[in-house]
Amino acid sequence: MLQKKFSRQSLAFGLIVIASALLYNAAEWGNTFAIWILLSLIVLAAFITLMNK
Amino acid sequence: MPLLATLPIIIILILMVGYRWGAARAGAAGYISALFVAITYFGANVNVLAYVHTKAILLTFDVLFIIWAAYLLYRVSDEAGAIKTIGEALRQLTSDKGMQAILIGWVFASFLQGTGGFGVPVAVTAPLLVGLGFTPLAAVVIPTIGHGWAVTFGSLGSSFNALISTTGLEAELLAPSSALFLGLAALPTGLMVVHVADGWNGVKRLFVKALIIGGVMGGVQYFVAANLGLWNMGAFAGGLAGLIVGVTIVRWGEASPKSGKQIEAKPLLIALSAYLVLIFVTVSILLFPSVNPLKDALGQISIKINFPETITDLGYRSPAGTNKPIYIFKHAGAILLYASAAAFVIYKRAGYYAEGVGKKILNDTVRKMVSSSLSIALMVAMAVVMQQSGMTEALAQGLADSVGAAYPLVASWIGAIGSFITGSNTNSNVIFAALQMRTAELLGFSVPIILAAQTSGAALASVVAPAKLIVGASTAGMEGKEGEVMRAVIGYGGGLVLFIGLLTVFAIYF
Repeated sequence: MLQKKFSRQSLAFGLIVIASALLYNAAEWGNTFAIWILLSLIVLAAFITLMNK
Repeated sequence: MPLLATLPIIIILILMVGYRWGAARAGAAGYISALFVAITYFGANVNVLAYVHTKAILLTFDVLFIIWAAYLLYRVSDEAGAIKTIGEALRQLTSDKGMQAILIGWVFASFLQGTGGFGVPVAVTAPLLVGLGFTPLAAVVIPTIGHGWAVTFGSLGSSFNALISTTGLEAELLAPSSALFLGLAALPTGLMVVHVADGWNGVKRLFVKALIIGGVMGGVQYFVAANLGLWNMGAFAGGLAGLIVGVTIVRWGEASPKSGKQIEAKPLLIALSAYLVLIFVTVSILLFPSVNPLKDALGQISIKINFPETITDLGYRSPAGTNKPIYIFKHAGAILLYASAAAFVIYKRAGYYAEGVGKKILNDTVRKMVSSSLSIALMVAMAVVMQQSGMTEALAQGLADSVGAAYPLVASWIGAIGSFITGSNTNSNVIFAALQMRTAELLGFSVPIILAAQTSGAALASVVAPAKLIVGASTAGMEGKEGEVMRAVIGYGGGLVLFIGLLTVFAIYF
């Protein structure tokens, strides 16, 4: 899936949108573990974007 | 600390300008570096970072809604052959490259900024210029530079409104100097447009015409915003006056050779219908807010989230409050969607479409917009991380503290930095206007003049911000080549911000 630029970028954008939206609830509930997981997904999306194939 | 705060901006500049990376990859690198600096040096804790990203995605949606819809409108009209028809008509109006650039890339783009803004001017006019034979690079650069002067009082005055809101000062106090600075900036933007299109010979040949058109646009904007007090209509009125004067000059001027062909009215009218509908819908929904029932009716549903106060480990506070409400049905993106739907019906009834074209348009829009959407999401996330962790404030404070008496020259650059990283004149005003006001008070400078420098610098730099360049690039076949566009516009943008800085020095000291 990550071989195609369009697929890579779609995945990265989807990860950012979903994780960012869920972060609000995670913060409201004070769930630090969930916050770190969601932040990691956003950083992962950024690294996927950096891939240049 | 201020030097560390510049790191994400420097990384993006180097990667885009030096290495010609696309905006998505450069934005990813900028975002990762901003996050790293925010956590390690600015004390951004887990609570701050959680709310930062939710704020960022709301802002991203606010921006992307318009971009997606603008591209959809472009595809709707392009698939119907409208862009080609308009281009043919303009060729018949004038074959002068410089005048084509003036009319479309300066005047029409400024008018679009007045009514819609948010990236629409470049998204709409860049394809028109490509259709006229301009290179894709020139087609993006020309309107990018051309509409900068109209940003603050464009988009129905949203950026100027941010200046009023964040400083608590009256519009009557702020409008004259802001409208004067931006009105004066109209002429150099026009000359730069001609320079890109036709070189120095074009500038010499069309100087007087540009002077007249620029004088009319800037003058009308000043009169409407400062004298009539209708600051929400300043750029709209200026752009409209510019269109009337510009077309009149071309039709009756002497320097514009014509092909001799007659322009057929009906096909041109149908081709223009997408943009006429856009103007009609915009005016119907957004203008005259105090007496417009449609605006109230469409403003019932909004996305509005409460955010608590956040404090970094170093003590930088972001106050509690709600995000800027996103009114789904009267959003500029929604207006573009209404215009797209109406234009689609008009073109279909006129027999301009083949079977199954609707699906083709939607598929093409999705495929084209993914890269731009990712770029903007990462750039906005970077900008909000910088704002909420105190990096942006450290950057601005460091600049102001270090310059003292030279602050009038620097004020426009602070506004420019804010809009460059956020892609928004409004955001720059939100971030920096209060700081600029306080610094001006401490140094004993005129607050309205310093704030005029803030919003003017922000307006003129916002159009060369990566987030904005992505829009134009994606609609003119330059996606993935945003670095080339950046290299082409950065000098012009810097020159315009310097122009505002010199105006500010003159206004303060002379």
